[in-house]
Amino acid sequence: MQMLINVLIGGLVLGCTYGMLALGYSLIYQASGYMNFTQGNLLMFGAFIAYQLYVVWSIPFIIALAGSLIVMFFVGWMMERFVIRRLVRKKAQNVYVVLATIALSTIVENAAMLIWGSNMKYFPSLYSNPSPIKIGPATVSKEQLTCIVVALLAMLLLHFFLNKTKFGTSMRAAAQNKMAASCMGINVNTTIGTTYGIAAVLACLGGVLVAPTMYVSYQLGNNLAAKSFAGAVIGGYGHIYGAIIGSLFIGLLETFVGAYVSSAYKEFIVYGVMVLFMVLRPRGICNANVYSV
Amino acid sequence: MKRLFTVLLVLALLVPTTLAVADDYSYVIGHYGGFTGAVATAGSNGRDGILLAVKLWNEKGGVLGGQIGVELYDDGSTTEGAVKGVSYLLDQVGVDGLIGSQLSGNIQATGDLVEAYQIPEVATGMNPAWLQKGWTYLFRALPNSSGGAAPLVDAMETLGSTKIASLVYQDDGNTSAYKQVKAVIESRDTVEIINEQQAMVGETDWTGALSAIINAQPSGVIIFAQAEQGSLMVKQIRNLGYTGYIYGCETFSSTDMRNVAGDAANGIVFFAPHCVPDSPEEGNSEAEIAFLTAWVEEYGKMPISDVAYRAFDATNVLLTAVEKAGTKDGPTVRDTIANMQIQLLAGPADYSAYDNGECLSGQQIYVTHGGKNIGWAKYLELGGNADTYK
Repeated sequence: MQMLINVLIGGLVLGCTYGMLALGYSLIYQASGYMNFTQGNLLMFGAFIAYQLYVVWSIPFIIALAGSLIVMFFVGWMMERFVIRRLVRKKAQNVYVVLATIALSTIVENAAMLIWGSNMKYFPSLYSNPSPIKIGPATVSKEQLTCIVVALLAMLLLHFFLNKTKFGTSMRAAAQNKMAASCMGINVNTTIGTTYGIAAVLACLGGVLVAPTMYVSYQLGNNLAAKSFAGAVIGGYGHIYGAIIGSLFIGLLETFVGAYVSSAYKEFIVYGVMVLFMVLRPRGICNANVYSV
Repeated sequence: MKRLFTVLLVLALLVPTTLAVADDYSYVIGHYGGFTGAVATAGSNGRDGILLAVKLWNEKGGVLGGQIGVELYDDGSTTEGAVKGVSYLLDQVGVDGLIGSQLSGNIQATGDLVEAYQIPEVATGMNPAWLQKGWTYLFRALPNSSGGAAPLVDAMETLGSTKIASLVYQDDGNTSAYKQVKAVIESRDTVEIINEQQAMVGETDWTGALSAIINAQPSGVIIFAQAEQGSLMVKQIRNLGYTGYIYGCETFSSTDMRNVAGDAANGIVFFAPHCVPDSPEEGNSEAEIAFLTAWVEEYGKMPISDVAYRAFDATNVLLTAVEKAGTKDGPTVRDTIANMQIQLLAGPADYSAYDNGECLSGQQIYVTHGGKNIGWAKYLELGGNADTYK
């Protein structure tokens, strides 16, 4: 029973972390039609910004968190404004936009290494008493529970923002049909730029949540990005709720396979499932629109 | 304008990329290591250990009547990077000697190349395998990992860890070290391995594997991994409620282990040729205190990884041999090393006592207790407090 609870919670934590990145993938794809490979390293960079503010400059955590989210919003917005939008205006093929995001990802990674060095950095616990909590026979860290709660809250807020606010509605309209949205007076460029900013904010939030349970290092994002991508694909690439569901599925699959089958087959099975979905059910769990008809 | 730019770019690529390194120095050392990638922390410390050793030699006049140069290559902690790096250093730069990576897989991948070029290499990895291949130009400046297996199992017996589970990072060094420990366990009847898990390269979460380990109710857990991954594994297993002893390898001597894992690191028992203390004054010998003092003076803080020690020793072995030989001729320097005795940070080394490039045997056991790494004997003096870690 203890093992089941530990594996369940571990899987949910992983899934929520992947979900923060996968949401960014799906948001951007939905808004612009392009795949974006910067999310993993934006998570890492956001964690470093929070580290710099909270640990090095000893700014109170809430202010450090707010500061890092604001900084990362502008990082994401600037990427779209100065690189992606220019390529789109020049009617570059999709592959060039994708290559640009890969290049930006590498730039972000190397920037972090040059600024903060290659050593791992310790991100302290968010709680003055970091002792784990007992849930039945199992033991869970406070950071893990915080990660689940905050990630689910962020997803609910995003749902509210997209569906109940004027700007969120205009973002969805622009994502559905840019021409029609523009005719209705919606500034499509602003909505797409804001989408990239929100995606970067989600990545940053994921980084801050995961940093106390791991460490902050320039390699942090790469390790998480690939499985987040798998989560987005399995959920239905471009589907917001699919990103969450797919990521939770991947997180739970990974931990259950590691615990009950073998940790040696974990990666093999996770990516094998992704390929199976792509071949047998490319629309994913949530039936995303993936065919160009 | 575009055409002019293209022409300039082509011309720039045609310009020799290496400066006249050989002309400026009497001896040039090449080093390939992971300054980025999976073991960047240790690799960077290794690089800094070489640079410090060379600086100290140059301050005393260098070698062969001139200064010593260093050519570095970042292999990104990958095997293909190491092969490219060694090719570059030997073929394009023409270095006179090599200080090898601490990744044993990378040393092995480049062994044939080094042998073909007849350039002596003192490498910093601990896997015994690469000195069993018959290469004559390859040497080590520390004891190999097989010297840690028996002392570690002795410690398990002393601390009552008779049912052992293991989580082993699947890279060459850690799997090899684990095989040696497992062989010692299986040769005795005192300790039993009840659960084995593997950690694949690139993973960051081991909740599943560690949950399976805890479910097996071991009295001790072996975790063999690089410091970056090991510190997370230790943190995660403690978060899952495991409070017993953790048995590790030399990578656990890294200060990152205690920095990242925090209090979770208490109760780790590991073998290592060196253990980085918290300040130079805590060094175990005058030589170590002098090394750490010079290090802090040069870099402003203590080394993080024991690879700093290994690389410093390796550089001293190579340069001492060059000085004794009075030449930079590869075969002559090689023969000098093979017959040399030298005092290292790792202890009194005697290459003539071995016929394969080794110079030392045996490892020390340390325990992380109360936030500090303390020697085994001292831990036992404190009571060997098994009750603290149950």
